[in-house]
Amino acid sequence: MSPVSRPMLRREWLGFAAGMPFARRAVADPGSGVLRVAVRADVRSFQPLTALDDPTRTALALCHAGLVRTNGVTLQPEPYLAERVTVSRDGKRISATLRAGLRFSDGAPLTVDDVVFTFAAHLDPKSGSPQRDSLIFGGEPLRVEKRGPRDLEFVLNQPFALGARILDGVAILPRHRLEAAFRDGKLNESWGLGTPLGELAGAGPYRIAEHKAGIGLFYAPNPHYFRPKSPQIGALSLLFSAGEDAQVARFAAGEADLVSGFGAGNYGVIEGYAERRGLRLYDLGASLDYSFVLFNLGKPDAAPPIAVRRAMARAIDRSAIAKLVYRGLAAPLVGHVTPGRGEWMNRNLARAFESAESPPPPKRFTLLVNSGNPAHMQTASIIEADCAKAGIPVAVVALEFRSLVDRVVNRRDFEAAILSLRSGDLDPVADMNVMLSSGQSHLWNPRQATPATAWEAEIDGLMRSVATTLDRPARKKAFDRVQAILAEQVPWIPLVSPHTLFAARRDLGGLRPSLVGHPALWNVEELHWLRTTGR
Amino acid sequence: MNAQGRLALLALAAIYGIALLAPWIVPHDPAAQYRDSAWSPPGTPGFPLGADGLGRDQLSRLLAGARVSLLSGTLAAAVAVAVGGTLGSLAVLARGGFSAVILRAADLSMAVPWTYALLALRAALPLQLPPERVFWAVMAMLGLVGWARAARLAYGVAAGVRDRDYVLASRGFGARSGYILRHHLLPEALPALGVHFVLAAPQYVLAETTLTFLGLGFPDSYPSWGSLLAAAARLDTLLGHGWMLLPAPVFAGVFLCYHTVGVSLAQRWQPGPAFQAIR
Amino acid sequence: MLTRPWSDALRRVASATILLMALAAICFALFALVPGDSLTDAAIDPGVSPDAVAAMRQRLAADWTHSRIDGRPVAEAILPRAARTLSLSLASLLSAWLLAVPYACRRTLRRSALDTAAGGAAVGLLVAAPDLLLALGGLWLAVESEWFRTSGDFLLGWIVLTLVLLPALVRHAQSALAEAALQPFVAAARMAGIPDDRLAALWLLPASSGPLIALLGLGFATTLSASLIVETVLGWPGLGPLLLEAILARDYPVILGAVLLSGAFAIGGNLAADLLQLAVDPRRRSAA
Repeated sequence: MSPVSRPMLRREWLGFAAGMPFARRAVADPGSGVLRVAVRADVRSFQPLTALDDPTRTALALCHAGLVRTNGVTLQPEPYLAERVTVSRDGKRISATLRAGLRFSDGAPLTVDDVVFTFAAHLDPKSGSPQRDSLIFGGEPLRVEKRGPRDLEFVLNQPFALGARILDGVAILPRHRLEAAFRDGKLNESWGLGTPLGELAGAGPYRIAEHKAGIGLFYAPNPHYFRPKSPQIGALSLLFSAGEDAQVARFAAGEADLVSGFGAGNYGVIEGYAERRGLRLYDLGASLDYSFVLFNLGKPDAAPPIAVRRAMARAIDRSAIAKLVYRGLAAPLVGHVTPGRGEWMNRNLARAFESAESPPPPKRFTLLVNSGNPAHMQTASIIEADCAKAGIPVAVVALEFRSLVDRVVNRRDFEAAILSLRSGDLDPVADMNVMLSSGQSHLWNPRQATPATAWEAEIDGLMRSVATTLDRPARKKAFDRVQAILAEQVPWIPLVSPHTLFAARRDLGGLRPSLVGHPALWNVEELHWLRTTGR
Repeated sequence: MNAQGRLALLALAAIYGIALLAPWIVPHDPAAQYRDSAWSPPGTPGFPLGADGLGRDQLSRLLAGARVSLLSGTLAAAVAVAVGGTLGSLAVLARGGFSAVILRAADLSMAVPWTYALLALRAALPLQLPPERVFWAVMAMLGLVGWARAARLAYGVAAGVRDRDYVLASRGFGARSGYILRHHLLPEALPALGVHFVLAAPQYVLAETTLTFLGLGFPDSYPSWGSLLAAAARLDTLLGHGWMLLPAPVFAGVFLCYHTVGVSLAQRWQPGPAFQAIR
Repeated sequence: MLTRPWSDALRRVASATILLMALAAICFALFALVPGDSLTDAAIDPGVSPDAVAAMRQRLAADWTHSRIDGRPVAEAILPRAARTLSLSLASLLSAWLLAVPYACRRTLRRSALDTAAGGAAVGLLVAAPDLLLALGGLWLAVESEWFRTSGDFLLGWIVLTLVLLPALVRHAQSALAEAALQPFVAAARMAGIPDDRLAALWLLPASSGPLIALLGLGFATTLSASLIVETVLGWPGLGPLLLEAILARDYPVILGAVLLSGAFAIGGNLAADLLQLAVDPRRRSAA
């Protein structure tokens, strides 16, 4: 068997298994072929409302749809279940008109009542929706009003910079399936993994056909999906692997067609098989993830003094981290806003590091690092060496991830730690929970009743104006200032942003890689197999 | 001791000698990062065994890591075998209630989720600890955790001897329990325990990577054999830089020496040269 | 002992019950001491409302019958996977024994220098190779050769797990057989001209049954722990990947279930070994 012909043969076998002999010819037709995606973890529930983890969100996003969807390429909101969305000039009212004839995957019509129900469900504290806070504006929950058989109006208490994008990511749920659970306050227990699949319904391009615990999740096209000619791929499966190596091996061996979420090392592994197995790698450049050295500013004398933190920020060779740890597949950072976030990045921060004042030699302090993350372990070694050269004694202490986070977030018993976070979006509002001093993710001193320092108070004010101002240049200016304050006060030292990487078979077409959400599956209904003649 | 055994013992002595002298004979500081030489393959001038992803000299790391890794594995395995062997033989001798307590305790300790015990221990300890001291303490503890298998093994072997005629005869002549333990039960269990020791020692050396994961081992910059092997045991390293596995044969060789010495010692201790002659 | 089978069986069951209860108590104590919980990672996710995490935490804390990761009943999460682990482990254990014992017999009775050196080196390498490395080697083979699937291939898992188990068994079997070969009756049988195969089967193996059976009792626990790593790397959907995730994610109900199950297996294995000893070695019967 020559290596080149192999993927073809595999697909024929798959087609055969699915009762479609000669799948090779059928591949060119829309509505056929299987797309197998290698993923890292099993789903944890079938309820998109309460999903907390990425694997579950990704898996359920294929079955559900919101009124609006962010285009992964332009990063602008586009009407999705809605046919038209308009935002009033003052930014406080959003009106939407549903498409005609929408149906859930079980055939029941999708109406404005389902939309009202969905938002009510998210806003009810008993539902346990992780998105609840993002639907509260100026202390008041978003109001949803029916204006006609297909018309809705969303009323905000104060203007919000994201406009129609607040509707993105809120999957419209079928009232007829979930209302009873909602009335009993049991939405958070609904649609668990034990639910018969026939009781699930969504408006996305696929529906779940089978779930094999620990093995895979198998989808079939949703016959009632609103786009007439799609989805184009006849069946889709998510195949679970327990580790990154197993996931990548599965893809490199041709047993999966798409893989994402691997590190720089495994990029090289796939590269080695690309020619032989007909694979293609996609490097989208800096992602929205950023790693950083975090200091504990919440406890007096826990973190080294500011002069030491600044000296450390100067001493750490971020290019070396990007080059050695991430093999060049990461962008060195100055501030936490990565190059992936485009114009929102303050490009004048480098100056903050120039003022060279040498601090008195500090006492030795500990730097916690997640022992389960080899990249962070190596980063710690580089930081240790760089700091030693600058006369700053750092003791690296490796801890298991949850022990580390518990120390940092709950016990607040640490001096410095290497962590990473992901901004959910390019826009600054994605950083709200990290920047606001009252935020849970304001990691250097979380959940403050009132801002402990003048600069944190200033950041609070700036971030609030960033969220409620509609004027883009003013927002940019405010967010630039936030970044400048952080560079000056050094509550954390941003390190690098790893690139967004994924890989797919060469004959998978329709990919429009995106930095936000899943890099390849956000437009899953457009994916298709390319004609394979000539191979 | 036969020639093979003597040779292996010599080799072991040489390895330990090199390990103890490591701080003075390593070509580079094992933690020094020659960042421009990252991933240099073996044979690159200055890096006979190559340099790892941060440009640290593999040979220096191998030599510097030998000391702590060789001693720690041996120590942990010795503790496990000594404690387990004694308790297992005692269980044979004592019978009744005490015997049952020892055997049930062994069953229990084999089923307890030790990961959590170690995580809880780590949380209770202060953050900044001299890594070497923690390491010794934990290795000793690992040995204690591992007593159960050795005890079970010793019990299984010694129980078969307990009621042999010569032991009964010895009892009949008024031998005390301690005498029977020393002269009849332990010698009988010794070969099996010796094998257990040889098999356990490399496992304890590798257990160090698990300890590092749980926060009780060394940071990445501290060289050890466990971390050397862990760095190689990744798909990308295996495929892209297979030579990172070079320390593995060294490692295997050391434990082969252990085994050879063990075997020839066992042969020497065996009674009855008359029967050996026929083999 | 065999004269009073019922009272003895009752005593065994009672002690096993006490043992499992003690095990559960130890687990609960450890759960209380370990830092972090199943929602620790959600707590630092900027996209997740803290109230949702708090509510979820409250709901989970009271429930000891469902997984804290995916809400399934513990038995439903564990049992199908335990069956897969069992099938892989038993198959590998069997094949490892079938390879190790004849090999050890041969090495004991007929020694050649070349054989000793080559076999010793091979076994030595296998002993020193970490389980993880062997499993990764298997994964590499699957990617490279196309002989195996990279994920969930029983055959590959079987081969790798057998290789993982083999060296320890060979070593122990050799030691036990060498011991037995020193017994006078073996020498006598040999001098009487009994061929090696018969000698091994009828004299040598029975004479070394004590250590071998003790090893069998232990073997099961060892096999299960080795199986966890092999399964995780090779994508065999047994207990390995489940427990790995459950331990790290602090899925306490699942851990408790798995610990009790493996405790029961360890007790069962040792019990079987004890009974087998009695059956094989008549001397013990009269004494006990």
